[in-house]
Amino acid sequence: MTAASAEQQGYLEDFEKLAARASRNGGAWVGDLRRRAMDRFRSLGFPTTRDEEWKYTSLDALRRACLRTVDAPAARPVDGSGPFESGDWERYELAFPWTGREDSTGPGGARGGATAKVPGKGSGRDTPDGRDESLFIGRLADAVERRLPWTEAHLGRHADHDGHALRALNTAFLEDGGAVRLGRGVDLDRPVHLMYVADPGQAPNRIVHPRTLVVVGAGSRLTLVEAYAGAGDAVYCTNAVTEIVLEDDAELDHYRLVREGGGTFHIGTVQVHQARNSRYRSHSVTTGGAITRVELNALLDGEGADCLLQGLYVAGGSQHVDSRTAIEHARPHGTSRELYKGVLNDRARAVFNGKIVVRKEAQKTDARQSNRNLILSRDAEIDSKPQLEILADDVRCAHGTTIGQLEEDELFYLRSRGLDAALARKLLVHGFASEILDGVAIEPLRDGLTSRVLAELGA
Amino acid sequence: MQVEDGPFGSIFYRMKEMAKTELDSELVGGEYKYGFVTDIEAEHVPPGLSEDVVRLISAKKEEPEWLLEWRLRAFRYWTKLEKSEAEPKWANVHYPPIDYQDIIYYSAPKTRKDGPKSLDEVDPELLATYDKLGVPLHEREALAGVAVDAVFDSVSVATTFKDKLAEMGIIFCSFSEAVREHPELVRQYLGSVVPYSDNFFASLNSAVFSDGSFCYVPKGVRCPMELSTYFRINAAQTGQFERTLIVADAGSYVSYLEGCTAPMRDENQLHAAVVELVALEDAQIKYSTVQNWYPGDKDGKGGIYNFVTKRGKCAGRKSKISWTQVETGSAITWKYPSCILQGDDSVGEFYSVAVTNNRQQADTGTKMLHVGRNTRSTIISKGISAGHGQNSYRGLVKVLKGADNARNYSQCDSLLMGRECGAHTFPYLEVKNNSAHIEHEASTSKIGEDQIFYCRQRGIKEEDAVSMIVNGFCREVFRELPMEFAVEAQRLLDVSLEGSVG
Repeated sequence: MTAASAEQQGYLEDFEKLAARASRNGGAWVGDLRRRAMDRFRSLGFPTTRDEEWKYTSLDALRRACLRTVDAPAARPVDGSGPFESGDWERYELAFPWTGREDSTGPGGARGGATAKVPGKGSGRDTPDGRDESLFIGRLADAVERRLPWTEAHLGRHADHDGHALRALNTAFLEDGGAVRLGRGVDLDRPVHLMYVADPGQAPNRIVHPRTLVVVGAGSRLTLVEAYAGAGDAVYCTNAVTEIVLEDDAELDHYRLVREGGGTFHIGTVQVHQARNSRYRSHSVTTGGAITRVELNALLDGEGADCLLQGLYVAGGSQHVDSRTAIEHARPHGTSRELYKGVLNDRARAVFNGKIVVRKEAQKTDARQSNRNLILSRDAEIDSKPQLEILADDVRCAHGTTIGQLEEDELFYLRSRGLDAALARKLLVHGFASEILDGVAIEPLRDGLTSRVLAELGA
Repeated sequence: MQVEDGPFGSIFYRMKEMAKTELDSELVGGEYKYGFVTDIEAEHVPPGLSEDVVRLISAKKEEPEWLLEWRLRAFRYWTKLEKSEAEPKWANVHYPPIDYQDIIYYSAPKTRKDGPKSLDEVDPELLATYDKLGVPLHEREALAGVAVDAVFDSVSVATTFKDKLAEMGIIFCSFSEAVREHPELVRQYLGSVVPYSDNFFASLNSAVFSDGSFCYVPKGVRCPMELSTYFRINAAQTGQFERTLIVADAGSYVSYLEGCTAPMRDENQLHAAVVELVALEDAQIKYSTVQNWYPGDKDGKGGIYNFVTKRGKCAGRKSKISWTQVETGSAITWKYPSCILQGDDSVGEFYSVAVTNNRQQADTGTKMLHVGRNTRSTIISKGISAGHGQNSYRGLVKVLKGADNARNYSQCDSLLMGRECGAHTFPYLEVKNNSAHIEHEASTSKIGEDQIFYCRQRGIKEEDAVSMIVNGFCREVFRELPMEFAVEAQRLLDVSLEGSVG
């Protein structure tokens, strides 16, 4: 074991505190998982830009900040008036707010009474209480403590933390977050909305490690909205990991929305495991944050699995947004489609890294990937790296990347019809972004996102 | 595999009998014994690398002090690199560690006291070898109209058409000769595009480079013929470290061809060359390569490690550098011919066909660095994988802040033939200027059954159909090659892929 560096010291102390406190919750395996992950983090240390995976995104500021870990936030009902307006639509909602005030988050035991009975807004109906194993919508801590078998079967099994320091750190501190389990053949009547809300207030320099586990049973259908929001400009870090398991023929529409505060680091991983004929559709919209990095990895581990990734990243000021996707075709007849679009303004910098791997067994794979970027200012920068690794021969794979600015003739066309320059610009940017935003099926959510994206760009 | 005529297709097989080589080189009281390489006596420095070897190479070539100093600086830098991180690890290739102390860094055919004055003086054995290789060195020179600077192992043996070129002021000679005759030009441009500190293999080359070609085209001159160098690695256990420098002065044009072959051997040989191109205002350089180093046998035994640094600088306004390569040989290819587009309105092009069959690995591509305004670049890359071959395209398009209106179009297609091979694409696009237009496309597929069916229906044999389709796949690149190279390249492709289709 290598000696821990000074920057790691605080994490080690916080870890021991957590280990002492949480030892009695759940099975022994959780404690083992945490400790193994902590050991990995110790030996890995923070990645540097010499690491190919982190070539364009420096975590130096995060490393030097020596953030202290806050206790996992308690789940509690919210009235929907948080920093994240999500509009008026029917849903099962679960919020995990944490604030900088020390007294609001006591030790884990004090939160033991918190329940996951969160009324869906406007519905008045309770979520199923989780006694029925085929249906659980609630806190991960709860599910682990009650030793529901699907937690041990899946938690920490999919998101690899051996080679990834931040995932290791999340796993070491995993305690709470959203947990959703649908049994066989469940078609949930409304979306599940998980909200991770940060309000660092008076106590900045904290890091929080939300952990989400979603297991969709054979033939079931789910719509999941996973939103991260923060307020203010204080320095804090959200280090999130979401594991998603789709059993045979399962379907999931996943909206991952990030809107962090101005001083935030947001590091997130979504790890998807797809079984036979399952369908996964991801819509990712990222705005805000000082440094945002979202990794989305899908493993198509069953024949005929289908995967659609759509993403929009919008950055202005001196924001840095890094989107990373990896689609791994491991079985035959899989299909994947990917479209990520970016709009950059001011001195913002965006990184896109999209990888498609086709393993030898994955014959008849059809994979297509596209990354399109719009640069609105002189000082913005984009680094795009699409990547194909193909080991099967009977496949069709393609990727494309474009980087450009608003077309002069398109602007001219609109101007010639009497629109002023600002409006013409706004219209074109809206048109560019709407290809992704139109994929959001929940209408109030789509409207909210659209106006947010346009506001972000000052358009 | 069939032995056919032609400069590329069957070289390995013809060279078979020449591969039985015994080396016996030992330093005895400051003198070298001469070992045998084919039937030619060769002069070797003993294996290993040290400052003394660098000094010895420099002394043997009677180099001026400044060049020795440069070599030593490179050597010290390389030593530092070797201690810290050794070879670059990022490429998608795998090979056992190279023992740099087990390589012979200098090997020259034994020359007569003053070196050959004309073709008649060249060792007939050597000429016969070239004859087998199909190099139009002697009587074929007029026929092919190619001026050949032939590099046999490390020393340039004969240069044809030199006088004719000299009349126009074009300098085309071996690198050593250029150091002697035109030191000011060499000193001005050597390392100006690929500095000795560029990368591990470039540093190694800078320290021990033995010979290569030098070409200078004066202002406003259009070189009337294709210039050409054939490289061959003959002696066993020797690495080849040639260095090529081409300078096109304002308004000039030159087209340069490079063909590479090596005999068949069981052990792996290292080839770490450096090519530097400089195009001044309005000048154009077209650089074409057909690389057919020995790829190793079916099971991946033997073969050349081709770790090459090639880079051109469009230094002046409206200059243009165009790279075309057909890479069918080598056990491992690690090569990224690049363009620094410094002058405003300059143009960079890269056309590549890379074939990997059996156990071959290729990690190749290009870098286009847009520095000046209105710079344009085009990348067309075609990768073909067969057998257990692994083929990677790795490229960088970088637009710097001041490069207004930069334009790039990249297209990288891969063709897979067989269930065990792989095709990989690693493009990097870095853009710091919003007026840039960058487009990148890549695709991977196999030969469509409907395409084969269409050809078969019209009475074309399956093998011919595949050959036709593969040639069609590569056409965008082949049409950039000079005529006689294009014909050879097509034939070479057929030979390389033989046995992998059907």
